[in-house]
Amino acid sequence: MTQRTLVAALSGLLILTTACGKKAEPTVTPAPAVRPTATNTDSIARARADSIRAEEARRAEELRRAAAEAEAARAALVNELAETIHFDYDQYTISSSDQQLLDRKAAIMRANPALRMRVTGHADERGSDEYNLALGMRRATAAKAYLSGRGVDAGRVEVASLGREVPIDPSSNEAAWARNRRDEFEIIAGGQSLVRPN
Amino acid sequence: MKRLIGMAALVLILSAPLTAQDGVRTGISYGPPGVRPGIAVVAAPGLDSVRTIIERDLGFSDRFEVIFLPDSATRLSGPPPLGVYRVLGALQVVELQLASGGIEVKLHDVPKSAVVQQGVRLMDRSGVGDGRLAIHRVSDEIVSWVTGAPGIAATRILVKLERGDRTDDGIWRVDSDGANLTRVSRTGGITQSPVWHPDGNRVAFTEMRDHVGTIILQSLSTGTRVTIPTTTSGLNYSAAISPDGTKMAFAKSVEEGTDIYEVNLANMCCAHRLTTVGRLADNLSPTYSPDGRRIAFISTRGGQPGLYVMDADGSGQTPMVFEADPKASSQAPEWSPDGTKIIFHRDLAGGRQINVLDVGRRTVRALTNTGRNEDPSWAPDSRHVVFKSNRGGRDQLWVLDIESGSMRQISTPGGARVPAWSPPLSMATP
Repeated sequence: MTQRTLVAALSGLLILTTACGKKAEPTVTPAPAVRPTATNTDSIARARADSIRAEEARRAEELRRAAAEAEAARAALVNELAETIHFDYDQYTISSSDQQLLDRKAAIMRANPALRMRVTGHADERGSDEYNLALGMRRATAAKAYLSGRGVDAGRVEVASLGREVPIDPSSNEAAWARNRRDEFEIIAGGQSLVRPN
Repeated sequence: MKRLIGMAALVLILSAPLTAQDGVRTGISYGPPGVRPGIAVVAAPGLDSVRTIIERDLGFSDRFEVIFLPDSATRLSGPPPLGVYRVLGALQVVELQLASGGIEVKLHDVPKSAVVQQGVRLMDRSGVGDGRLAIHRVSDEIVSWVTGAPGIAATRILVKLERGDRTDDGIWRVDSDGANLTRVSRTGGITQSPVWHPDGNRVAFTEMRDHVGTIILQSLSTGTRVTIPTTTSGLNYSAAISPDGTKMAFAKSVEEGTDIYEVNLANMCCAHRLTTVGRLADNLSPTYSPDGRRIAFISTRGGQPGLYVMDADGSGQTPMVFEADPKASSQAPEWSPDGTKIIFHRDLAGGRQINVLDVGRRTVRALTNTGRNEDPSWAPDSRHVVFKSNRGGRDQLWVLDIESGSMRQISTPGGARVPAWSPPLSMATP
């Protein structure tokens, strides 16, 4: 950019800002030193500035969209990580459909080495409260063992049990009991940004 | 007290014909065999609250036929009209009179028209709050005077309450008659596994916060809380305190499994593991025999949870209940204060019922058959048990007299679970 065009561009910007600042005033005294060709330069500069701003807005929008997409992707991964698995009555064997859920969790954990999780086992209301605490621990440990078997370092998964204390559904029927016999998965570290596994 | 028993024994010898059908009654006069003695409680004006509590306690002892009469008929203006009560079938009449700072209690033997026991007892006569305990003690004295057996009125029950909004969740205590519900644990968090210290003043329970279950030993009189060492990591619960108060056994659930540990309460140290098969099975719910030499517990080493007994040092672990059905299970044992029985709940073909094991004979008997019945606890008379049942539509505490089969509900707001019945509460207890 030559010095002249820079000056022109700057003066154009100056006029532009002045014009913007004094929108209410109908007449603007033209600067005497400005020749007719300078008007062309002004309009070019204005167009140029407009296009820069448009570009900036486009980029910002693109960034926003990319961020939203990334967040949606992250949220999808978080949802996959958080998906509960369920157990048969008084059992802690992981069903084949839940194995698929755990396979996916393991893949996400392998792709995100900073990720650490807590698995909390829950039981339905039947049985002694104390036995249900032990059973919940078995259920949590079963999921952890499965994840370890899929290449997730054991140190990245904590286990806990809440027994029958925190039901999803407090009703006393088979459907409620089935929902309550579960492992919950919670991210305890490294969930701020997540990479989708290949 | 010796003199009282002597006097009762003397009356026993004099009264004929005698039918000592259950071998425990050393009382005054008996009615027909198999029929519980009739008893009535009468009181001077101003003692209606005291009389009502004692009358109900005598009923809850399941050792009498209590003759209930309207207040107006039980209010005394002179000596009790024993003739009337004789017609109603009373063998004993309890007379309550005002005395300075309390009441005077007289026990009338109706057939003999004689006062056979009497004494002044200091108490708050309002019948509300913790002062009710002194009234319950009078009830127990009457039971003891008439039957020679200890009463269970001056006791309390710990219970985990669960109300819909969780604001009042926690460990509470309630008098044996279901009144005077009072919070024990702090608000917030999840609590579990309440149990009494044999001193009747301290209680232990688990507080679950941030995925750690810590066992707290709390004094009811001062509110002082002590954290049991080694329970600040992992999930620690199902505490039991040895009858001499020196040791606590509890279950610790960690990734490797659940095992029973024991800690020395006297110097708060030296936790050590009593069961050693955690990787293969869960071991939990310890309960001491009254001589402190053995511990009954639950183990899944045979597949389903089953009832086992070991020596208090962890040696000699032996199954106590053999199940023909591989799906059957036993949970939540508690050794009776007299040492002869273990109460627990058993799951046979999907129904959970309270069962009792005769420790000597190794025989098991079901005590309930309605609804889901779990987590039983013995009264100090080794005859009454409290447990959780959904027979009324929601989880509530029920008290069963295993001799007569009589059943009563302890009504609490919300759901009630994991009851623990106290030892007899001494005069020192507030």
